[in-house]
Amino acid sequence: MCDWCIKHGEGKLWYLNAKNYARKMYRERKRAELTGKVEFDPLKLIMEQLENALKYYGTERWPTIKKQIENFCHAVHFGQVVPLEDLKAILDIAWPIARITCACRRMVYGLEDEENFYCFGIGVGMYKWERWPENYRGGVEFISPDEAKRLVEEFNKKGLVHTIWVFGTPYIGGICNCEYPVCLGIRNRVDYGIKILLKGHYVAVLDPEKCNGCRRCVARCQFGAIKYSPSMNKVVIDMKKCFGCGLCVTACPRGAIRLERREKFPAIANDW
Amino acid sequence: MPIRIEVDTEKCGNAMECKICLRVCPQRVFMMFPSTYEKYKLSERFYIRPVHAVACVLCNLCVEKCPKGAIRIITQ
Repeated sequence: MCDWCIKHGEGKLWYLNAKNYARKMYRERKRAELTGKVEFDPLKLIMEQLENALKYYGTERWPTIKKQIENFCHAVHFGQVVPLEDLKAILDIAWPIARITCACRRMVYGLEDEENFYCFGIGVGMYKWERWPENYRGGVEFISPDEAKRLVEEFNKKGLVHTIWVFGTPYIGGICNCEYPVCLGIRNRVDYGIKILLKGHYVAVLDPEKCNGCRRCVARCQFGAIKYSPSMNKVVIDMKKCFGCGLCVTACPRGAIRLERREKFPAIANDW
Repeated sequence: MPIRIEVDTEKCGNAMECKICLRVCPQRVFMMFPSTYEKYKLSERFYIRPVHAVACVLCNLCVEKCPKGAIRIITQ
C-alpha cells in the first residue's frame, strides 16, 4: 500500500477518497500558505526549486539535492498516474470541473491558449481562478462530469497519460493529460529520476499468447516501458518501468494487455 | 563536458512573440517563464531560461536560428 493511501485513503485508494477533494482541505491548504509553512505554487516550484536543483545534476551533491526536492514535492505538489477507469471515478467525486490551459505546454512548446486546453482544474479554487492571471490565461470553462468523461476518453485515444496533481498534500486540485517531454512531472521523473510524478497503482501485464506484434502499444508508451522483439514478433513490457497508465491496454486490438494491481507483484509493490 | 547556455534577456525581448528556440531545440532544453508571477497581475513579458541544459547536445541550432542573437553556448 502506498504512503498516501495509508495516510489519506481511509481504506481505499487515496485519490478515490472524497475527502481529498473537499473544500475544507482547500481551506487548510490556504492556512498553511498564510503561516508561510508551505509554498505550493507549481510555477514557483519550477522557477525556483527545480531549476536550481538541476544545476547539481551529475555532481556528488545530486542525491542529497534530489531527496530534498522530493520531500518538498511530496508535501506540496506532486502527481500520480491514474488509469482511465479510476479517472472517471474521480470525475464523479470531484466538483466543480473546469477546463483550463496547460502551463507546461505553454512554457515548453509555447502553445497558444486556444490550442492548449489539455488540463482540468477541480475544486472550489476554480471559482476564483482569475485571481492568478498567469494561470488563468485562456480562461476557464466549467463542464459537466459527463462531458469531462467524454473529453478524457478523447485524450486517451490521442495517447495522453492521465495524472492527478496535489496542491498542498492531500488536496487534489488538478487533472492533467500529459506527454513526454513536455510534462514537468514525466520529464523530471524519466530524465532525472525525481519522484515528482509517482507511478500508478497498476501495472501492465502482457499475455504473449494473444500478442500478434502489431506494435500499436509501443507507440503509445510515454515511459519507454514497451519494446518490440523482432525475433519473437511480440512486444515485451518492462514492468519495472511501467507507470500503469493503461494507454497500451486501450490501444491493443486483441486484448493482450491487462492492468493488474501493483500489490500483486512484491518486488514492485512499493515502487512508486 | 560541462555546458552552459546563456540567454540575453535584454536582446531577446518578449519571448512570447518569438518562441523560435522552443520550437527548434531537438532536446527541449528551453522553457519560457513569465516575468512576474503575482496575484491579480498579468505578466507583461516572457523570458527564456535553459532549464534542461544538461540535455543539450551542442547542435547549435538555437544559436543559428535566434533572430536576435541572444543565445550563447559556452563549453569549458
